[in-house]
Amino acid sequence: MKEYQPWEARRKHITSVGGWRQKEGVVYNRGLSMLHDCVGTKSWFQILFLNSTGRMPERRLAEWLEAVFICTSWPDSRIWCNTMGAFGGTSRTSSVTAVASGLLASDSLMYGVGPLKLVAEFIITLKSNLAQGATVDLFFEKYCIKGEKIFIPGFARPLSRGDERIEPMINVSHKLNYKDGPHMISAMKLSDYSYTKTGETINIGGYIVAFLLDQDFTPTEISRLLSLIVNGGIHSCFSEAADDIPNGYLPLHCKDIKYKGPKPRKVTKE
Amino acid sequence: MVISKFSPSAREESFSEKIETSIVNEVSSSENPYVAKEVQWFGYSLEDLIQNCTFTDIIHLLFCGEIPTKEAALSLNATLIALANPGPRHPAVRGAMAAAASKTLVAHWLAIGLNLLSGHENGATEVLKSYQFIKKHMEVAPNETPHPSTQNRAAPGFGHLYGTPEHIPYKSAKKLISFFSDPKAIKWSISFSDHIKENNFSLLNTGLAAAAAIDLNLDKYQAVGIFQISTAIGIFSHAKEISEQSINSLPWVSDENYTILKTQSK
Repeated sequence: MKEYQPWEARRKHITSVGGWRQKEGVVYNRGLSMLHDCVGTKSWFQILFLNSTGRMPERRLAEWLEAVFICTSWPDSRIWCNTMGAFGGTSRTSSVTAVASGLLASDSLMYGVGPLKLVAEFIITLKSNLAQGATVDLFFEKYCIKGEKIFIPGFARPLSRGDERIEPMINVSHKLNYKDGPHMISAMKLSDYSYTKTGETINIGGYIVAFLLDQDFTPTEISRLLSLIVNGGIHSCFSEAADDIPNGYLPLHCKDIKYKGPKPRKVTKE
Repeated sequence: MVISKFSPSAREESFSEKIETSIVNEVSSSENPYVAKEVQWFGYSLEDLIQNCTFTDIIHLLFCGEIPTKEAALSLNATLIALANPGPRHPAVRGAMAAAASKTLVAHWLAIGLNLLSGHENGATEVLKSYQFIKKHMEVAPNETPHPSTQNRAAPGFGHLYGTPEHIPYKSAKKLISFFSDPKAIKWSISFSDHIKENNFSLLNTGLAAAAAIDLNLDKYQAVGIFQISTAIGIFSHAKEISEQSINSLPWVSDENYTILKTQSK
C-alpha cells in the first residue's frame, strides 16, 4: 500500500453522517430527516447536542443547555469577548464579523471556552482520586498548588470571587429533576474545601463541565458543544455600538496612550 | 438577595489608568485631542520611515524596536518569502478561495484564511509548539533528541502531511541558511529532519517558521506572527484570483461521491 493511500480514498469522496439529497428533497442527519423528524419537534439545542456529540438528548437536557447559554453571556461590553462586539459595532463591521471576533476572543487561556477541556480533564482526575480514597485536602495539596500559586481549573475567575451564576444553574438543574452525579459531588467537595481555605469557589465553567461529565460526555465533546456559549452578549454589545456614533465606543485622546518608547530619532542605515 | 458562598465579591485589583506602549507616539493636534498631527514609531517619524525603509524593515522595527541591520533585514526578508504562499491546496488558502468564489465580502477573505491557518496541523498553533520544541532541544544532537512521535508527527513542525516527507520546507531551509550569520536553529532542524526521514517524516513549513524565528531572535509569539503575516500574502492572492469567477469554478462533489451514513444518533 502506498503511504498516501488514506488520502487517495478521500480525494474525490466524502463520507458523512449527514447531507443533502437534492433529488429527494431530504436533508439527513444521523439517520434522521432534518426536515421531517426534527423541524418543529426538536429544539435548536437538541440539534446542537446532536451535531456536536452525535447524541440526541432528551429535551430537558437541551433546556438545561439553553439556560447555560443565558447564564454565560451578558450584555456587558467590558467583558473581553463582548468588547469585540462593541469594537465591531463602533467600526461598522458586519454583525457576523463582530460576533465571530467575540467568539474567537473567548478561545482564551483565561476565560470562556478555551479552558473547558482542561477543566473537564481536571474534574475527571478529581473524581477518580476521590473514588480511590484520596481526601480532598490531599488532592488539593497534590494537584492544586503550583509552586507558590494555587491553580484549580474550573475554579476562581477574573475580577471577582464567587460566581453568582452557580445558584441559578443549581436551581435549573433541580427543576429539571437532575440529581448531582459523582463528578458534580466531587467538584462541590473541592469547592467547599477551596472556599474554606482560599475563599475561591467553583466557577460556572467548572459547574457546567462537572454536570456534563455526569451526563457521560467526554472532555472533547464538552468543549465542542460549548463553542458558542458567549454568543448572546456579543450581539447586544455589537448592536448598541453600531447604533451609536462611529468610533463612539470608548474613544481615546492621543494623550490617553502613555508612550514609553525611544525619543524622536532619524533613520540611519548601514 | 440571599448571600451564599457563591455570591460574588470584588477582588482588590488595580487597573491601569492608561494603555502603555513603546511602539507608537501620537502627538495630538491643537484643535482636536483625538486627531494626531505627528506620529512616531519607536521614535522614527512616519515620513522618515516611508522615505527610507522597506516593508521588511518596518516588520523588524515594529517587532523588535529597531530598524534591522542589513544582514537582519536580508534574513527576515528571505524568511517572509519562504513562508509567503502555502499554495491553493492548504486548507487556509482553500477556505479563503471558497469564500471568495462564493462571494463572501472581500474584507473577510484574509480573516477567514488566517483563522483556518491557526491549527495544530500545519498552522499557527503548530508554529508555537514547534518553536518550544526546537528551543528546548537545539543544544542536543538531533539523533539524541527525544521526540513524542504520533502517527503523522515526530514532533511539532516535523512530520508528514500526506504519508511521506515534504520536500519544499527542507529545500527552503537549506536555502535560508546563507541569509543568516548564525542559523543554529535552522541547521539543527535540517539535521533533525534528516534523522527522522527514515520514518517518512521531515521538516514542515511550521517547523521552518519556528526555526527561522529563533534564528531571527524572535520570541514564540512573534514566530506565530511572522508565519501569519507572511502567509497572508498567499491567502489573499489566491482568493482574489478566484473571486471574479463564478461559484462553478470550485469543484462540487456529486451525490454519487457523497456517501451519507445511516448512523443513528447515540
